[in-house]
Amino acid sequence: MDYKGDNYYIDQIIAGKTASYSYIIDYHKDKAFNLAFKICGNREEAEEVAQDSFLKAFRSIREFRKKSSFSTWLFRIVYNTAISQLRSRKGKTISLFDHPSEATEFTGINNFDEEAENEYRKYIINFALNRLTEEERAIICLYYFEDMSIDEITEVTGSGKSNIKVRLYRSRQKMLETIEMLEKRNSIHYETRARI
Amino acid sequence: MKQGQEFEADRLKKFINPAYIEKAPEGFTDNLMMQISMEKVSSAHSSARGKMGYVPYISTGITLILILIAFLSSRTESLSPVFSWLYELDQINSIMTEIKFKWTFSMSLPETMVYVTVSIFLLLIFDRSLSRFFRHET
Repeated sequence: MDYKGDNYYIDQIIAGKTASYSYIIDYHKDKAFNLAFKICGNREEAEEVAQDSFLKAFRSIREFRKKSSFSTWLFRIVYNTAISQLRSRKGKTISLFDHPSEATEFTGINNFDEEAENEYRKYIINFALNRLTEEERAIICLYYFEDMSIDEITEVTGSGKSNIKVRLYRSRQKMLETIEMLEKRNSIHYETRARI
Repeated sequence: MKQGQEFEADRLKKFINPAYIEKAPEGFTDNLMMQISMEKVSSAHSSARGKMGYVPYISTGITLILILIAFLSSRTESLSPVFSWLYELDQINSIMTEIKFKWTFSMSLPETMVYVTVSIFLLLIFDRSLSRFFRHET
């Protein structure tokens, strides 16, 4: 079934057809989950955050003014929910990519096929993302994965435009440094293995 | 500087493929819809419970108004046609007092007993009908 647009389903929900919300969830779930995952760093928490966000959005769907897009509004909810979730568990950092050894596991593959290389890149990005703060991770995710403009990111995070630009620049630098460091380590590892 | 930034952005883009996003787990939509429907049911129940709380107050209010009207009507000579049926109550009252309960049960019943009995009946009827009405509405 073709997706008829957010506003169409929102009008139906307001009219009392609650079931229409399933179309909205289906359409936005992966992007909302991805943002939550990038901020939280693990699937369990990301699922909880994404579910909470969809529930919050449903409860206040009448407050959605349609001035911005639904996805921007939803992302704002996901962002705020994830940040407050992380603040509530301050000190208990759970991350899937905390150990550098995990990111170098892929050096064991001698012939990189396309799938393995993509997995490797995904892994390296997640590793580099985990070196950033949660706000920086969110900005990178919104900019690169959701292809949002600086203005849209400003709307989602509630920070100023210049602040977002500076943080985006810094986060990008940090990520590139981490990626370079990992690549260097991987190439040394690969060369050593090749010699053996 | 801008060119340098764009170059670095491109370098990062080389690693980031927007297609490789973390996908929501299986059954995500179904779980959420189940939670929403459960929430809807519980909120409907709580609003019904809230409405049901008004039943005794409404019943008491209506009964008190009726008692007041009955008292006032028994003291006035001319009754409006709307409240003429209340005159019947007054008639019953006079019959009841004539029976003279104290002879039968060696006790005397106050005059207001009729009004109290009728009020209890009315209260019961209102309570039942209002309960049925609110239950039907939810």
